[in-house]
Amino acid sequence: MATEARAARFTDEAPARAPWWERNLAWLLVAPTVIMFVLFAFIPSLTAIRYAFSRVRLTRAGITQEFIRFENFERAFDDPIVREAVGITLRWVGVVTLAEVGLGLLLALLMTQNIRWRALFTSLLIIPIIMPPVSVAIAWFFMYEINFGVFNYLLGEVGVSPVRWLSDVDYALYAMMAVDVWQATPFTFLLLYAGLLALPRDPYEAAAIDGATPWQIFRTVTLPLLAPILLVVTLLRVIDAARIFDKIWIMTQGGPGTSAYTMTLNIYIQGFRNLDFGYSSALSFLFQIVLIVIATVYVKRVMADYAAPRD
Amino acid sequence: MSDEDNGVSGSIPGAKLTRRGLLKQSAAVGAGAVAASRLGRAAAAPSPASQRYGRPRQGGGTLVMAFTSDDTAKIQPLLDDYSEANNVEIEVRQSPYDPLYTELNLNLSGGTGAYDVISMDDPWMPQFAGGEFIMNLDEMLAAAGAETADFVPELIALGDFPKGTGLRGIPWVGNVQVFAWRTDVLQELGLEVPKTWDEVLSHAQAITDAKQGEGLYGIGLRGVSGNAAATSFLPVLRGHGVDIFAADSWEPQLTTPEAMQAITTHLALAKLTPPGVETVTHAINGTNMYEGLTAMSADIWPDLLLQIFDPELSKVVGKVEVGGEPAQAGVEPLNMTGNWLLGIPEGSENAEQALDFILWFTAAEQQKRLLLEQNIPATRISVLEDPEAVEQLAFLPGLLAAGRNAFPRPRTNLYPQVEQIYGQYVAQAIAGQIDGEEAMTKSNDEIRALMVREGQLEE
Repeated sequence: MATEARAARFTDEAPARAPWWERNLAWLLVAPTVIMFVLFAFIPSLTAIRYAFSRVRLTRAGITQEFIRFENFERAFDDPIVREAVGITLRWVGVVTLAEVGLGLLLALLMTQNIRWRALFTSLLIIPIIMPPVSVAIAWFFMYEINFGVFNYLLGEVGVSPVRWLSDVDYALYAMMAVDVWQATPFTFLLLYAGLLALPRDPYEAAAIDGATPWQIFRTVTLPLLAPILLVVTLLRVIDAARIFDKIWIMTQGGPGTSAYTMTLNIYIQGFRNLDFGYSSALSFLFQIVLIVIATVYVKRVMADYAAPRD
Repeated sequence: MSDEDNGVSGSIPGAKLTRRGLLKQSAAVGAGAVAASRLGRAAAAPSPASQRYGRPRQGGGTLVMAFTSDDTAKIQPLLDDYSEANNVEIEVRQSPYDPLYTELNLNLSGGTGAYDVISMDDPWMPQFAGGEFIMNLDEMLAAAGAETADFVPELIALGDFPKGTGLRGIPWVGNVQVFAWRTDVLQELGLEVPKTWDEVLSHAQAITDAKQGEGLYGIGLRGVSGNAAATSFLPVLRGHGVDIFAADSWEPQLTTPEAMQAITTHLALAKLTPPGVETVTHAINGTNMYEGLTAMSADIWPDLLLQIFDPELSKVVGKVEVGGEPAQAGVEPLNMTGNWLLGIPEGSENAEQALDFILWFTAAEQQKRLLLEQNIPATRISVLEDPEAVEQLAFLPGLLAAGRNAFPRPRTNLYPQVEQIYGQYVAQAIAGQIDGEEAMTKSNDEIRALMVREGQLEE
C-alpha cells in the first residue's frame, strides 16, 4: 500500500523543473554577444545618428549638442570634397574588387591543375593576407619611393626614367590599389580554391565525355557551379574595399592633393582632426546607408537566385 | 593621487600642503599678479620637490600624464629620475599626434580627471586654455615662488591664453620653424643669403638649374594635404605681409593680392623641389636636406636641425646655417611656433604634485639634458646660450634668434579645421589638380563659411 501511495504521489506531482540557467540556456548563450552589440554597436550608432543632426562642440561643460535638423546632410551634398571622395571610393571599389576576384579565380583555377610544388605555392600565396596592413603599406611606400625605391631602381636598370608612383595624380591611386590587390587577392583565392575543390566531379566527367573544350567546361560547368561562392566573395570584397583607410592614409594621407581622398578618409579627418563630430557622423551615416542598400539589393536580387530550393 | 593618499605635508607638523593652502599663500603673495617672472627661481632649484617648496614632501601616489608616443621614449629617463627622487609613480599614456588630440579633447571636456599632466601642441591652446579645460597656473606659480624670466618671452607667452588671463601652459619643447640654407652651395654660385621670397625663388631657380644634374634642388617643402602643406605655405603667406585672418577680425584674407602673390611664389617653388613633393612629410623634408638633396628650406624645425647637424646621419654637417624666415620688403619677418607645453587639466586631484613635476621638468638642468641627450630643443634662454650646448649644436644661436621672432599660428580653437581647409587646397594646387587662384578662393570661401557657421563671423 505504501508503495502504491508513493507511486500515486509521484505521478500527481508536476515534473521537476529544470534549473533556471538550463531553461534560459539559449538566452544565456547569446547574451554576451547581445550585450557587446548593444554597448559597442547599438548605443554608439544611436549616438552617431543623434550627432548627425546636431552641431557638436567640446566645451568645459562636456559635449554639447545643438539640434540643426538636416544642416550636416545639406553641407555634405554641397561639399565638393565629399563628391570627389564618393567618386574615388567607387573607382577604388570597382577596380580592386574586379582585380582581386579575377586574380583570385585565376590562381584558384591554376592551383587545381597538376602543377609542381602546388603546396608550396599555396603557402606562399597566403603570406600577404597574414601581414598587418600597416606593415604592408609602409613596405610598399618605401618600394614606391621615387629616389631610393626598388621599382624605380629596376626601371633604371632597363633605362626607364623614374616614375612618381605616389606623387603623380595619374598614378598614385592605382599604385595604392595594386597594394590592396596584392594583399587581398589571397583571401579571394582561398575561398574560391576551397569552392573549386568542393565542386562535384560528375558534370566534369560528362563534359569530358561530350568532348567539351577547357573553355567550354569553364564557362558552362565551373562558372555556374562556382557562382554562389563567387558572389559571396565579391560582396565581401566590395564591403571591405569601400572601407579602405589604412593603406591610403599611411602611404599618401589621401594625396597627392586630394586625389585619393576616399569617404573613410574624409570621415576620419572631419571627426578626428577637425573634431567636427556632427558632420563626421552625418557623412558616416550616409556612407553606412549606401553600403547597406548596396548589400541588401545585391543579396536580394543576385544571391537570392542561388538560395532558392532546388528540384 | 590626492594629498590624503600621498601624505604630503608641510614644514609645520600636521600642516598639509593642499591646493587650497597654496591658493591662500598665493593671495598673500599678490592675487592677480601675472606669472610673467616667476618660474626661473624654482626651476633652477634641484630636485626633490620639497627643496623648491621649502616644505618636506613625502611623495607617494601616482601622476598620470599624456604625451605623444614620439616624446615618451625620449623623456623616460627623466621621468624615472623624478619618480625615484619624489617617490611618485608616473604613468604615461602615450598616443600618436592626432589620437592624442582627440583623446585629450574627450577627456578634458568630460572633466574626467584622468590626467594630471598633459603635453599640448601650441595650436591646441585656444581649445584647451580658451575652453578652460586646463588650470590657470598663475596663483600656484606665485605660491611656489616660480619665475619665468629665463624662458624665451615669445615662447612662454604661448601659455598665456586668452592673452593676459594667465599662464595655463609652460613650454618644454622649443619648436620654432626656421629658414635653413646650404652655405657651400650659395657661396659656390655667388649668391647672398636670401632675405625676401623673391630672392628665395630666384636662388632656388639658379641652384636647380646649376645642380639638378648632381641631384641637388633649390628648395624643400611639404605637399601632403592638410597640416603639412599648410605649414609649408604659411611662412610664404606671412612673408608677403598677410595672414590667414585679418588683424582685427576672423575675416579670412586669402583672396587678397598679397595672398595670390604668395601662392604663385609657393607653387613656383614647388616646381624646384626634388621630385615627389606631393608626398613629402615633415620627416622626408628633413631627410632631403641632410641627404644633400635640397639647398634651402623655409620649413625646417629643431628636430630636423638636430639630424642635419648630426655627423653620424648627415652629409651636410657644417654646411647649413639657419635664421629668420624670409619676408618681402617692408614686411616683418616671423617664425612660426610649434611649441609643446605642459598643463594641468581641471579635475586633476594632484595639481600640486603635477605643478612640482612641471617646474622640475622645465628647469634649466632638465632642459639641457633633454637637448643634449634626447635632441629636444629647449625653451630657456640660458640653455640655448649654454656654451657647452652651443659648442655641440652650432645652430642654437640661430634658433634663439628665431624664437625671439616667434609668432603662433592663428589662435582660434577652429585652427585645426582652418588648416585642413587651406592645407587641402594648397596640396591640390601643388599636385596640379587646381590652380593657385582657385586654391586661395576656395580656401577663403570655406574658411569664411566655417567661421560664420561657428558664430565667429557674421554672414
